[in-house]
Amino acid sequence: MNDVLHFFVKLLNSSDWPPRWHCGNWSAFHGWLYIASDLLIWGAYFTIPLIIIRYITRRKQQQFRKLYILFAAFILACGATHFLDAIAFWAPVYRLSALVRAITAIVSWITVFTLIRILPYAFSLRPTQTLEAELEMRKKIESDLEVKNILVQEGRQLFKNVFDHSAVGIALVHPDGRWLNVNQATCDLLGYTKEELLNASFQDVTHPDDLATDLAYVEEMLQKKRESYQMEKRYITKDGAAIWILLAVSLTWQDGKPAFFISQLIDISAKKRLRMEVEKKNAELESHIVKINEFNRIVAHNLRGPASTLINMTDFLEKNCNEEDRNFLLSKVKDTSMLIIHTLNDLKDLLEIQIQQGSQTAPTYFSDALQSSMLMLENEVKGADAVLNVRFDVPEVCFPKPYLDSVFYNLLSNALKYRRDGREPVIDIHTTSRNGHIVLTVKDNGIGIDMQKYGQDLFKYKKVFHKGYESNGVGLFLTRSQIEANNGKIEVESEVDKGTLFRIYFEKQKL
Amino acid sequence: MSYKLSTAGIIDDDQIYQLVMRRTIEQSGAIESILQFYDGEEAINYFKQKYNSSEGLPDLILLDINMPFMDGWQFLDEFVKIPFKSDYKKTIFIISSSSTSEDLNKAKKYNVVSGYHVKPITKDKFEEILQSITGAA
Repeated sequence: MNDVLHFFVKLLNSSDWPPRWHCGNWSAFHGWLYIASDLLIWGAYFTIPLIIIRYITRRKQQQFRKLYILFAAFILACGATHFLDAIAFWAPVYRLSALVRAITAIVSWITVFTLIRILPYAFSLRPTQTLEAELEMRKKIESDLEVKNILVQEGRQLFKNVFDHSAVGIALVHPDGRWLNVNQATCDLLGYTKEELLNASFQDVTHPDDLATDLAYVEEMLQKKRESYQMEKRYITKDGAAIWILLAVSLTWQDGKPAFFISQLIDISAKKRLRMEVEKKNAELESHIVKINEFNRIVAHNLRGPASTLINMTDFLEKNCNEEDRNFLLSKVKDTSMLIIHTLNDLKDLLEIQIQQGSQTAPTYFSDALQSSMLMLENEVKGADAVLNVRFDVPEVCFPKPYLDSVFYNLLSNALKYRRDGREPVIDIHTTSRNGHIVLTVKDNGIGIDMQKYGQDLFKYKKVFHKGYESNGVGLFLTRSQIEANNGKIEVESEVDKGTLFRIYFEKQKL
Repeated sequence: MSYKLSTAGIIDDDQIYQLVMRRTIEQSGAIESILQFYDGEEAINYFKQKYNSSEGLPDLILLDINMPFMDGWQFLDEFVKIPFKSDYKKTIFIISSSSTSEDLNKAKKYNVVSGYHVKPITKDKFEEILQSITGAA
């Protein structure tokens, strides 16, 4: 113990030993090589720790900081032993030297142990850059996952919101047609409660006429021939009414099996009704345009014609004109003027027919109308010695009586007028019912009409087809107008020398 | 007037128009003879009979549209089917009281129709029509 105390008291005392130069036999070169090398080692060993300390203070990274410090201390201590070795040539402070060596030994071994403990961990570490990249990726994946979760949740929420609050009917339907889930809008559309629907299938509430089409689509979807379909179909509501729905359907598959249909139902009844109304109005408008054009044609030819003739005539009469021509022309003035008046009367009749179009009429008995027209044609019937075969299977029709009188009058007077010489005139008149329409047929065995030549003009104004007859081309024109104004149709079949058959289809009767 | 037409054909069912037009043509002195037809059928039958002869066919045809039995359009449909000799020069004018676009447009579809004039045709108007042919000839 005394030695230890002695050691530390005389730590810096060098008197117990001679300077190294004088201990042994040192040549100058040997001594200075020893001294210079020791100083250089010390210098280097002193610098390295400075660099290490600078390095670790500059870097933010805290990893291995302790190890770096140990290295610095150990190298610094090693350097110190070399320094003391060098100065021992003059100041042999061997006690200090021993202490420094002891410190060096301790620090060295601490470093060794630390190193051994850290080494496996250090080996397992990857370079910092890879580490950072990996870290980035992990962060990204995590945030992506988070976003995905939010989206999934939002998606569920969104679907729920849409499903619950949509104005469109949405339903999940089992591949066999049972309703799996229906939203309120679907219930409102069909008039059933949710419970009622969930105990039924879409087939139960589909209009029978539309079921086959719908099922055909369903089959195609199940066979993967199509991914979705849209159709306009009718459903039967709880109160028995048919409603028009635009149906859009897609099919969800799970594990290769059809899981459920997502059906969307939009009420298009109003649109459908509107469309039908527009179509009806369009048809009406078109028929009006046809009528206006016809009116225009009559004015252009049958009114302007005689009027311009009169102008032409006066223009001519004012200038040189011989007595004979003057007398001829003046004799024709009345005819031409009468032509204008007749045409005006016809136009007035035509307008009246069209103004009364569609107005409600009471039923008229065919026999009454026939009788009225026969009174006017009494002489013609007798003169022609005609045979009338009358059979009214349907006794009455909703058609204005004056028009029905006029229809009979015109058709019968034509049949009598255009009878064939040398053949007893036979006129068949009968009514029947066909596809909900009442049909009136008037058939004669007269001279007939060349349909190829005149078929198109048959019902046109002032068209005549037979020379040598008193015809004005107005009868059939007005007949057609009267029938069409009451939504009917007139057809004709004719063969020259065989006869003519007129068939009138009256509007379907609302019972 | 240096240019002279030999024959004009008037196809119209209006007796007054027929007389006035005939006198107007006669007074113009531009045409030697006049044929009168009172409907399309009468006219087309004449053309069907005479198509092969070099005489008697009118070089100017004044055609009405609205006529009984066969109207102007039907006449034209039949007329274009007749295989006339290639040296038969004819000018067809439609003379109608109608000025509707329907009729005017329909007339344009017939290449054989040279023009369309709306009645009444006064003396002055007829002189204009004559000049339009003779000027073009």
